[in-house]
Amino acid sequence: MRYVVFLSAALGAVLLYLLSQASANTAASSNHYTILLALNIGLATALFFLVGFQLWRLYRQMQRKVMGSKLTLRLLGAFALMAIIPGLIVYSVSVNFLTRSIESWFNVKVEAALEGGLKLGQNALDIMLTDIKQKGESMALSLAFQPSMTQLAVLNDLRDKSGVQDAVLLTLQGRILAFSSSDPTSFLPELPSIPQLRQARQHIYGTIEPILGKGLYLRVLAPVTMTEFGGETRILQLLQPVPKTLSDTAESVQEVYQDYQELSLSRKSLQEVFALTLTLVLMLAMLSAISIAFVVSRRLTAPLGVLAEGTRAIARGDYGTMLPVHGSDELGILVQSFNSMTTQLGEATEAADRNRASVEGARTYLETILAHLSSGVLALNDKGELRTHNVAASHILGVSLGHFTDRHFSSLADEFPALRDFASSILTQFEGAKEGEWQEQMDIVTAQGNRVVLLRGTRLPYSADSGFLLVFDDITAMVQAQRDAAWGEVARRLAHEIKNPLTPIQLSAERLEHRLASKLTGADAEMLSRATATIVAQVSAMKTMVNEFSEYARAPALNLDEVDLSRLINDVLGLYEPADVRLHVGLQPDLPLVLGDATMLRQVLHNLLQNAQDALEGKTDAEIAFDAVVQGDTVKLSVQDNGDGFPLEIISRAFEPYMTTKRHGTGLGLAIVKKIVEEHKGTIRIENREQGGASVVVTLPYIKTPVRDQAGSPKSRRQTDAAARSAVNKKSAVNE
Amino acid sequence: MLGMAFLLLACISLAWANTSNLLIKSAELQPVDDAYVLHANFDVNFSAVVEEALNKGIPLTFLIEFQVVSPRRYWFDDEVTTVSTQVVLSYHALSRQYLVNRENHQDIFTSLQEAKEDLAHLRDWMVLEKSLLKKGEPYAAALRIRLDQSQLPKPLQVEAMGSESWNMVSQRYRWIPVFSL
Repeated sequence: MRYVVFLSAALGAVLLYLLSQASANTAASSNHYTILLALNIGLATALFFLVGFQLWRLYRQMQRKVMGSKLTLRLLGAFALMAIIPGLIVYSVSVNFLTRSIESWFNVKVEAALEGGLKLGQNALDIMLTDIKQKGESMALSLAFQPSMTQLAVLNDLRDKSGVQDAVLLTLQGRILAFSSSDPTSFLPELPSIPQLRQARQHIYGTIEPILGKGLYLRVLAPVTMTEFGGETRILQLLQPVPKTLSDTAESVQEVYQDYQELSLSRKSLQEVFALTLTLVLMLAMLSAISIAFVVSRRLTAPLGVLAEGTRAIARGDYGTMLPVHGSDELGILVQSFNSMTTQLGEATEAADRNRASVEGARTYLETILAHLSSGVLALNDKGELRTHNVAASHILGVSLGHFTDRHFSSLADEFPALRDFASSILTQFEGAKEGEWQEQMDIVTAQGNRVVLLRGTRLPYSADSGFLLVFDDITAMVQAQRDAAWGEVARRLAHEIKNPLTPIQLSAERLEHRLASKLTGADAEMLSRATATIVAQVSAMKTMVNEFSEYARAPALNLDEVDLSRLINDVLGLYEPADVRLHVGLQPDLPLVLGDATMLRQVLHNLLQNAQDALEGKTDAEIAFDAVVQGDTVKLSVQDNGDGFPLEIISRAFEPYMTTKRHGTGLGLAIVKKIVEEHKGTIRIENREQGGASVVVTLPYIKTPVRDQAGSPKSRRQTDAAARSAVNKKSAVNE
Repeated sequence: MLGMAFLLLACISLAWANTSNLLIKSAELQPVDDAYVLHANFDVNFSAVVEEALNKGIPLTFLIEFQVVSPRRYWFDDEVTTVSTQVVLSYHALSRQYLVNRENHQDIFTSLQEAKEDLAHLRDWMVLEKSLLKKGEPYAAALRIRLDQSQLPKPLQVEAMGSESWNMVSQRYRWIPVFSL
């Protein structure tokens, strides 16, 4: 397109030059004038179409919202205006000027003067012609009376006298009879034409004649009526050149006159020609200017399009595209800056992505840690709303915290009244605490019963994420273990300290009776024997108690083996035959084997049944239900009675030693039972039945696959057992 | 009735006078020694505009073109000869006469009518050598006369471009000449 534009502009310049040359130079290029004109018109038309095509293309681009097309239009408008306005002014002025100046060439005075000059020339020639005519008449008269023999001499004579250049005597047919000339170079006279001869037959005839190659001549033909040959007519021709100066002047006047006439005749067309030429010049110039303006504005806006493309690429997130840089002007620099900006953006984005990925990784890592933390973690923001929690927190609290996120923490208390103390205590602590940590231990009631939790809270440093962080652990088991250990210690010491004096006391009492029984009589003797019997009995009771204590504290090593629970239960129930209690036994047939110590388990069963029986003492319609079923991967044993049940205040601490409702009893029964069950990796739970009475549920894990069917060798099984045993031992060691 | 007819005739002749035209009435080739000469009669009419231009001193150049071809059926005709000649008609203001110039020859006429008559008669234009012709071959001749506009002054050329008065071109006069070889 650019080349087409420049080519046509150059062609237009050449054509215009030729046209102006043709307008100026009359003769040489006149042949080509019309061709040039036509070529120029053709070129103008072509340029017109070119501009039209360019405009159409621009319009299409604007419709497609191509970047830079509007700017192109504006630049184009500016350029075109710059070209068109001065062009039009120059054009209108020149056309006006031209028309006026052409008009000014023609005026009446000049025309009259020229015509007068021409007339003057004509008159001068006429006068000369008249003179020659007179000479011709007189010569014709003289010749008429001469004999033909002397004609030539007379003709010479007469010509000499009259001073005419050529004199010829002719017949009517134009045959030369005599010829006389003062010009020695002339051999043959210029003969008149037939019509002229015919005209001269009657009377004298004179004309002014431009003779080819010789100039202007005066020709006079006079009839000569010869007296000699019976009135035969001859023609005398006189030929006289018009004097050089006169003829030149007259000719030049005529030429100018003709030029003037020609001009005035073509005045209108002359104006048209000039106007046409000017219009063509204007059109070619304008159209070329507009075409070039197109190219220039396109060149100017091309980098904008490139930039727009680049911007779009960046908007798409493509930082890889580099824009082509051309030119070292400001636009080139702009494109370069854009490129470097793109590079930096790309690097920044990459870095941001990397950072985000690492932050994400860190967060995921943190979340994983939180999720696998056994401690519950809660984070509150400044307004006391729950922001983060982990699985352990929900687990410990026995509440799904998921839907409390972004709600005020007190709403937890509203929905779960059991957690009111927990929530309010935390909020109070946070509101009160300025900096640093706080720690508190508190009891909360959950679905799993009373839990002891240790709370540790801290205020997070002031930032966007400021707030409070709460970490809490379920230390129920630990507290329990501590308590158990403490009780074990107490029991051991008590047993030790009490056991020692008991034997001497018993021996002393027996000795007293032995020594004094013979010496006393009557009532004294009886009193003695009663007292000593009481002492001995009480001492033995105390011994039993002390033994129990030591048994509790001793934590005997378990002797684990496969135990057939059904047989064990049947054995125990066989020994146990209450008098006034109805016993319901519900045993699931083929109970699986349990890994355990048969003796211990027997004691557990015995204890539980004894407890139940004790609870039913003095009750009519007493009954005990004993069930053993498989539940999940455990065997569930439950002993239920319809007694008074546990008092509420001790139900949560029923497994602690010396918690007893019995009038006589060490309160160690359930404690020992719990210890044994836990050493068997089982659980024990007590609750009061809704219809009255207590229920104790013991679960024990059973051996999933019998040893015989196991793929592994019996030896590996033994190892597992040993490992389990050692683990149990370790635990009991800790408890001690 | 007769008057009406005259009026009509006058109108036609007036209209005729207002449009320039050139017409070839007749043309014939005549053998002379070992060549052929062309005689032709034209009908020459000038419109008022052209006549005015002539009287103001603008010379009119006429081109007479003659061509002999040997027609061929399936191809362009074979050109035997193409000749042209110039006749210039001009007005000499000083002597108030019309000049007709042919090549090196000049005729002078006192009236335009005579000059036109002279222009209308083409005599003894040697156009064809006999040696160019072959016996038994068919030939076709064509003649045309036109005003050479490129010889006009430039402004008039522009005006002449679209003007009916200046567009003086005769139709091509074609005939089959009989050559006695």
